[in-house]
This record gives sequence, structure tokens and C-alpha cells, in this order.
Amino acid sequence: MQRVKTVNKAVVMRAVGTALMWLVGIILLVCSVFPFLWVVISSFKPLAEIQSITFHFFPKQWTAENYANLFAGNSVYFPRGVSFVRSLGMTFLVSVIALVLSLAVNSLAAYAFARLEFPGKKLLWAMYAVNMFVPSIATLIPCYYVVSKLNMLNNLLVLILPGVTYVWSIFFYRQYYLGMPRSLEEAALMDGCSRFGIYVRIFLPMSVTPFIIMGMSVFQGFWNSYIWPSMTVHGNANLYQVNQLIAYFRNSQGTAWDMLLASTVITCIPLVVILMLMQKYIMQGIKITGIK
Amino acid sequence: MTQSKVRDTDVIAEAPQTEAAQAPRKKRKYKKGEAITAYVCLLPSFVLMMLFITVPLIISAYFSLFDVNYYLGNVFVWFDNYHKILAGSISAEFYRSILVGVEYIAIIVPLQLVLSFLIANLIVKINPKFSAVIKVCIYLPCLISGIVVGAIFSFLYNYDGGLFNSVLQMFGLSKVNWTGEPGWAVFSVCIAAVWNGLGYTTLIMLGGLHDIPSDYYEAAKLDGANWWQQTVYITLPCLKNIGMYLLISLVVSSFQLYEIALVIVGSGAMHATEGPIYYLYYQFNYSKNMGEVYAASLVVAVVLTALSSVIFRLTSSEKSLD
Amino acid sequence: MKRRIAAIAVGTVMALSAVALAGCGGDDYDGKTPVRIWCQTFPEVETRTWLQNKVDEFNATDAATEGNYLIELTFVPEDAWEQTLKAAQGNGTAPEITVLNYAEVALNSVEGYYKPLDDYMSESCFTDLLDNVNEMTDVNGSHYIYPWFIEPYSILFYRKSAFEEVGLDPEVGPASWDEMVEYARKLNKTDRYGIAMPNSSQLGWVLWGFQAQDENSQGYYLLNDDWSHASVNTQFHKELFTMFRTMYTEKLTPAVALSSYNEITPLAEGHVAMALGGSWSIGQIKNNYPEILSDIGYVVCPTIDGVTEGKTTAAMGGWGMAIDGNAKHPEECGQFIEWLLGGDTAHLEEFMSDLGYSKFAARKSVEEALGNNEEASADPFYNFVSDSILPYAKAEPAYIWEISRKYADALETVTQLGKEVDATLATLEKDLNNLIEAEVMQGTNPFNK
Repeated sequence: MQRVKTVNKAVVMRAVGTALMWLVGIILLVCSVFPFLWVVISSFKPLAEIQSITFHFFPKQWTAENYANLFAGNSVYFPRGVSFVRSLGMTFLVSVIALVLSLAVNSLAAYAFARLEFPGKKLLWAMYAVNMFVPSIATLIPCYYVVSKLNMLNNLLVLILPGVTYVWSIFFYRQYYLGMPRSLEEAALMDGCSRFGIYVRIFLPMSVTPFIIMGMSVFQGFWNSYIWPSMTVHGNANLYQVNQLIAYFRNSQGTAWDMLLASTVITCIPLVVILMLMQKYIMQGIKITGIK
Repeated sequence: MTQSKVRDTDVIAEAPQTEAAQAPRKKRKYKKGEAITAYVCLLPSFVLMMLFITVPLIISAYFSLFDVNYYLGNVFVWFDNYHKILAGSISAEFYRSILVGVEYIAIIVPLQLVLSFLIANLIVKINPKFSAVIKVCIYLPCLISGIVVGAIFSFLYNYDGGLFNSVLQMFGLSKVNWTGEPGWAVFSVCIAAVWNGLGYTTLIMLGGLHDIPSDYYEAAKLDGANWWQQTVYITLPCLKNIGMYLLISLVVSSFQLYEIALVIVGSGAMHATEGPIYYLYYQFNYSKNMGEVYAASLVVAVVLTALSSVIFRLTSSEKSLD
Repeated sequence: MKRRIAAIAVGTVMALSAVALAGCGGDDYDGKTPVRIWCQTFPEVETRTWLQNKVDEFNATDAATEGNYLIELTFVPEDAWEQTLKAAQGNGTAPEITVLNYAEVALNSVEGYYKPLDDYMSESCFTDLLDNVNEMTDVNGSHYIYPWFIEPYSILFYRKSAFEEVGLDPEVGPASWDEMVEYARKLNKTDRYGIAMPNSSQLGWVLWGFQAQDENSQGYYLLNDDWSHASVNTQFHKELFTMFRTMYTEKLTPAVALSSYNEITPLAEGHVAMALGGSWSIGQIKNNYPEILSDIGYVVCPTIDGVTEGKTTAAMGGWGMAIDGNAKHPEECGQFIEWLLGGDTAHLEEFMSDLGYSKFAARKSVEEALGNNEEASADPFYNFVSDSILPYAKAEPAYIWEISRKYADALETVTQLGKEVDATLATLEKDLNNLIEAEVMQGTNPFNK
């Protein structure tokens, strides 16, 4: 009798716990989705309604004109010869190439710092690490000077290369690799596998989770950049980046919120799709790294 | 319980221990092949870093010693620019901005770390389908640019007609000047920043949680450890490496909070939300001498480096930045 | 694993081919010399369309084809303007013509940023300038910026229906600051504020409109003529501060501005009964809220003593074009600016019309032409500004922004923290004089002959 009671109590406790977790989960959902939803819905409002000081969630009058203007070939907002659709494609291309390079280059460096011993390691790491603390504005103008001397202005390379080495991701991967047990690679070393082979065969497959998490933010970093592209590729209509175009809607004297919100929604779509595709691999990370 | 405790400390201690064990050995001799592999691995990132980060940094350090004028020519002024920032006419604003940056750190870092840790735990425990939904949704705010985040929160914070004040009034409370009163303004900006960044930290936290072998917990459960004990003895120690990354990256990003504050408060609220990056942009836009901007940004970098090393020393015996 | 390597390989190939593709995107100038002009984005897209069309038109003229050059126009987003321009200047590749606002030009011209336009444009362009505009752009006998348009502020806008509602004459607005406060009190209701005052983060420049009214000022806004001394602890500033404080303590104005000063939304939506704005505000009403245009009244910004006729009540904001100090083709630049802004009045007439007469010309001949233009002379707001505001408007202060910022900060401590006006102004005066000393400003006023 007594046993049944305690079991009941446990069951009730667990049910309450689960209910509580669901409740918190739902509150979380509302908090993170509601403002996002507001952006999406407001993108269907005319300008005066978006600027309205009284808060309305739903538009009084739905309009798709903001989107139509955005995709119109000769939008008055954009510089001549620039199309929103093409810049979406170009930004995607830039972000993908940069992402692949970034993952490869930075994880290799992280592997070296986390697992290999070599002369000058401390000094090199200090050289790398210092860059994490330098505000980007410190190097912005000198970096422009460098790319201009390298003759890279208005060239695809200028959008990609300067952002590839990203010390934050080296630091991130390094912290990840530091936590991996050494037993695995020791076995591989015994089998005559090279140090580089260990990176390819053991570390890369175990990097799925960090690659996805860091990859999302690196991709987003390239996808959302606008100051650097504005500075460096304004002379080449083919290379305009999508957030560079969105910046044309903004002005301290009066922002075109209707266009800004519509374009924000459009540029978020690819990111949301990627996120939905990738989220399940964050789970898969366990299966692979779970070997230990 | 005792068993699992021993085991997990073993695992945690493993990485630093082996490094420490190697320390005396590497003084004697490096393995040639290993060193070559290391240099090859570092080569691409090193070249790109030199070109686009280090060389520009050296250039800006060089010009920080000049009164820069693009048209009449630069004049070498030794450390005048630094003096102006640290003890001269623009020093009061500089120190104020550093303090604001520290305030941001003090509010955002603990709030975001604790929240994301709890949420990550929730996601692990809850029904997998629902957790997949949460994982996606909680990341949604991270996709929006700081400017749009600022705009969203401006609507929530509006003194007249804003959502928050309407709710307060509904409960018969008096309105709060979220963005105009210095104390509230900092807090309001931090809330928006946490909302914006929470998804990212949660995912990282989640990645870290997934990498903790589940048999640790099973063993602990057999020993009758409750959630709290499991968290303290297994989860937190296992999250150490990732936690270090999160801590440092949050400290640096909160210190550099700029765009959100700019949109929500601007230069209002008695400058209570003007952090170091705001200060740098202000100098960038209004100063005639770019040397001052370089000098100021290098000082900010030094402050950040110092802050981070202090954090390393405080939180870990292992010096991860060395 | 192999798939991963393959993916990296494919990525590399993609990268290389894309680089090859983008590398050959050379510009097509038909062997002509490009002369670059940069303009930051203005909120009214009509400005962009007009400028782009005019550039095309110019490139087809004889002057350009015979000179074998073309004007290449680039719009830079405002957010990236400072970075883009400064990076190019540091690199020696700044555009040859930049579109700038007046306030920043005088001090920069001393630092060699621009070439004197007088060397490259006809004298008639400058004699044609309105007297106060000429004063504003003439630095020791040289002009470094040629005006495109002028936007005076502040102007008081109000809702006629609100005035009627509380028994005020909808055709007569307040004339003095006291009256403005009085009107605001009458118009204040639970769901509507009396007046919209500028947002604290914008006070710095918005206050120029008020400061311009100070007739007893020893020289130039807050500073005297040779910039050796600041005097703000005066009756004028005390009354100005007191007026602002009354608005806030009596809650006649929203504790936090409902919108940016540039936006007329609070007035248009009826959240306030009066609002300070600039000439651009009428453009917003015409474009976004045409249905209330007839309900909008406007008067000259109230003054300290209530005398508004023939008085300076506004500062002249606005934009013009300057030739870069390192420009390689200054002759061509001068030719273009003269053609666009200094020559045929039809160009600017068209511009003013495109913008709904919310911006104003800086030249006598354009004013004259607009006077004969049916559309313009039928526009009451255009006539109001050209007759009662523009002739007396004053250039924005040329001194460093820090001065204006400190002034705004002081006002904010009065309105938000309830500090004493007298003490605040005394401290402010001391601060400003310290700043003058620290920045070695004495004798640096470029306008001081």
C-alpha cells in the first residue's frame, strides 16, 4: 500500500515537472517568436501604419506592395543596375564559399593549437588571440588600404577573404577539441596514422556540432554584412550584397520601414530554412561524438 | 555517485594533465613531423590573418602616433592622442563609456549564461519533437539584425502606447520610462541584447551537453544523485571548455554592445547606454584626427584583453589564453 | 568522410571559378575619364531619382562628350557613409565631388579637404546666391560648397481642428515662448499632448533653430566671434531652458519623444496638437497623410519676445556639393556643378517640384523663377517659408559638434533630472570654456575675418 502511494507521488511529481517544462517551453516559444512574427506581419502594412505610434499587431489593410517594390527590377531605392534577386544569389554564393573556407581554415588552425606541439606555439596563439579583443573599427580603414593595394576592390575576393580567418571560431573549435579524449588519437597513432590523418579521420567527423553552431553564425556574419561591402564593392553592380541593399532603406532622417521589414523577412527565409535543416544534426552530434 | 565523481574528474582533468605532462618534454625536443604538420595547418589562417588583420592592426597602431590629416599630411605627435583619451579633453567620456561597457558585462553575461544553461537543459529533457521546435524558434531572434531588434524593442518600450507600459497600466501600475531614465535604459538595452543572443548561447550550451557521455548520468542516477547534484558534479565540470568560450565571447560582445543601444536609446538617457564602441564611432564620425580613433580603439582592445585575462585567472587554473 | 573531402574540393573549385568570373567585371567607360561623385542616401527617394537623371542628362551634353569624360554617380547608404568616405580619403581615392551638409564644410575647408569652387566655376554662380547663403558658404572670400537645397528649421506645425476644439483661433499660432507654453496647456488632454518637443538624442542640432534666435549673442551662436569665449549664462538661455523645463514638468510634452524629430507622425496621428519640425515635415504630410493636409497650420517658430516678423527664427540645414582637395579633374567637376546647380534654373525648379516644395532654393534667380512658377506660387507653405523664414534664417554653427552636444546635455539634465536652470547654465558655461581651451579653439573661426 505504502509503495503504491510513493509511486503515485513520483508519478504526480513527474507529471507536474513535465507540465512545468512544457509551460516554460511555451513561454520561451512565445517570447522568441512573437516579435519575429510582428516583423513578418508588419511587413504587410503600409508605411504610415508601421510608423503608427499606437500598437496594432495586425494590419488594418494588408498589402503586398512592399514585396512587389522590392522585387521590381528598377527599384528607386537601389543603385542603378542592381537587382535584389541577383544580390540575394550573390550573397548566398559569397556566404557559402566563405563558410566552407572558414570551416576548413579555422578548424585546421584550432586542431594545431589544441593537439599539436611545436616551437612558438604560445607566441602564435597570443598573436591570434589578441585579435579577438580588437574592435573592428580599429582595422577597418587600414584593411581597406590593404585590399586596395592588393587590387581587390570591386572583386568577389574582397567580400570573402578578409573574413575567413576568424579567431573566435578558432578559439571555439579549440575549446571543443581540448575536451576530446586523447585515447582515440593515441590508438590511431599506434596504427601509424599521421597527425594530419587524425584531423581528417577523427576530428573532422567529431566536429559536426561545433561546425553547425559556429557555421550558422559565420554564415550569418557574411550574409548580414553591409559596411564592408558598402566600402569595397559599390563599383560593381553584380557584387552588391543583400544587406548592403537593405541599408539603402535606412536613414536617420526617416527610414523606409515598409521596405526594410519586407526585405528583412526575405533575407531571413534562407537562414530559417538552413536552421531547420541543420537542427537535427546538432542531435546527431551525440551519436558520433558519443563514442567516448 | 562516488564512482562517477571520480570518473568524471578523470575525464575533465585529462586534457590539462596531458598538456602539463608534455610541458617538460617539449622543452627538450619537438617531434619534427608534428611541428611541420602544425605549421602547415596554421599556414592558411596565418597568411589571411597577417594580410587582413595583423598588418592593418600594425598600420593603425603606427598612425595612432600621428595627427592624421589626409589632405595636409600627417604630423608625428608621439603619444598625444593617447594622452587626450586617457587624461585630456575627451577622457571623461572615454571612462564613462568603459564603465557602461562593464555595466553591460555585469548584467548580460550572468543573465544570458544562466538562462541559456537552463533552456539547454530543458531542451534535452523535453519531448524531442517539441525540443526541435524550440531549438529552431529560440534561434530566430539571432537571425535579425541589431537594428531591427532595436526597432522591435522600441515598440515594446515606448513610454506612451508601448506594450510594456500598457501592461503595467492594465495592472494599475505607473508607467516606466524604459529608455529615458538612465538606470532603466541600461537594463532595457540589456534585455534586448539577451533576447537577441540567447539562441546562439543556448545552442552552444546544448552542443556541450550532448557531448557529455550519457553513462555518467546513468551511473549518477544509480547512485541516487538528484538533478542538482548531477548538474554540479557532472554537467558543469564537463561544460568547462565550452563554458570558457561562452564566457569570454559574451564578455567581449557585451562590452562591445552598440547597435541595439543606438536604436533603442541613441544618445539619450544622459549617455547611460553609450558603451566603448559607441564612443569609438562617435570619435570616428566627429573627430578630425583619425589617429585619435586608432589610439582609442587600441586602448579599448587593451582593456578587453586585460578583462579577459583576469577572467581566465579567476575562473581557471589552466591558462587557456597562453 | 570522402563526401566531406569532395565537398571541400567542390567548394574550392566554386571559389576559384567565382573569383575568375568576378575578376573580369571591368567598368565600361567607353574610353572616357570617369569623374566620381558620391552622395549619401536621403530619406526622400525623389532626391536620388532626380540626381541620377540629371547625371545621365549631363553625360549626354556637349560639355561632357567634348571633354571626353563622364560623371559617375554612387549612392552610399548613410550607415556606411563615414566609413566609406574616410577609407577612400585615407587611400587617396576619395570621390572628386561629394554631397555634404553645410555645417561640416567650413572647418574641414581649413584642413584642406576641398578645393575652392571659385577657381572652377563662373563668378555669376556666386553672386546669384541669396545673401545669407553666401555668408554661410563664403570662407575668407572662397566658396568650398555650392548649395543644392536648404531646409530651414524649426517651424511650428499644429492641428487646426485641435485649436478650434479648445477655442483657439486656428489661423493664429503662438508668437512667444510663453504663449507656446500657454497654448500647449490648453491643448493638453488625457489622450493628447500639447506639443511634441525634440527627442533628447537630437537636441544637439535641433536646438540650433532656437539658438539662432538669440539676438544678443556676442557673436556666433554660443561662442563669440573669435571663438575665445562661450557665453550661455544669459537671460536668453535661461528663458529657453525654463520654457523647456515647464513643458516637461507640466507634462505638456511626452516624457519620451514619440518619434524622431524628423518625423511628423505624432502630429499627423493626433497624439500631439503642436509639433516643431523643419520644412521637410510638410513633404511627409503631403506624401503619407494627404488627408490631413488642410488641417495642418504652421507659423514661424515662437520667439522669446513674441516679435516674429523679420526675425531670425530658423537655422539653415541643407546640402551642397564640394570638390575634393585631391581631385584630379577639378575643371570637370566645376563644369558639372555649375551645369547642375549654378546654371539653368529649370533643373532646380524641377527638383523643388519633385519634392513637393519642401526644400528651398539658395539662389536669387531660382527663387525668382519659382515666383513665376504657377505651381510653386500657389503652394502656401512654399510662400510662407520663402517670405517669413528663409530670408532671415541663419547658417548652422561651424564650431565642433562637442559644443552643441554639451549644451544639449545640460538641457537634458534640466528637463529630465529637474536640475536648477541657473546653476546648470553656470556649469555649462564653465565646461564650454574649458573645452575651448582644451581644443585650442581661440582664433580658429573660419568665418572670422
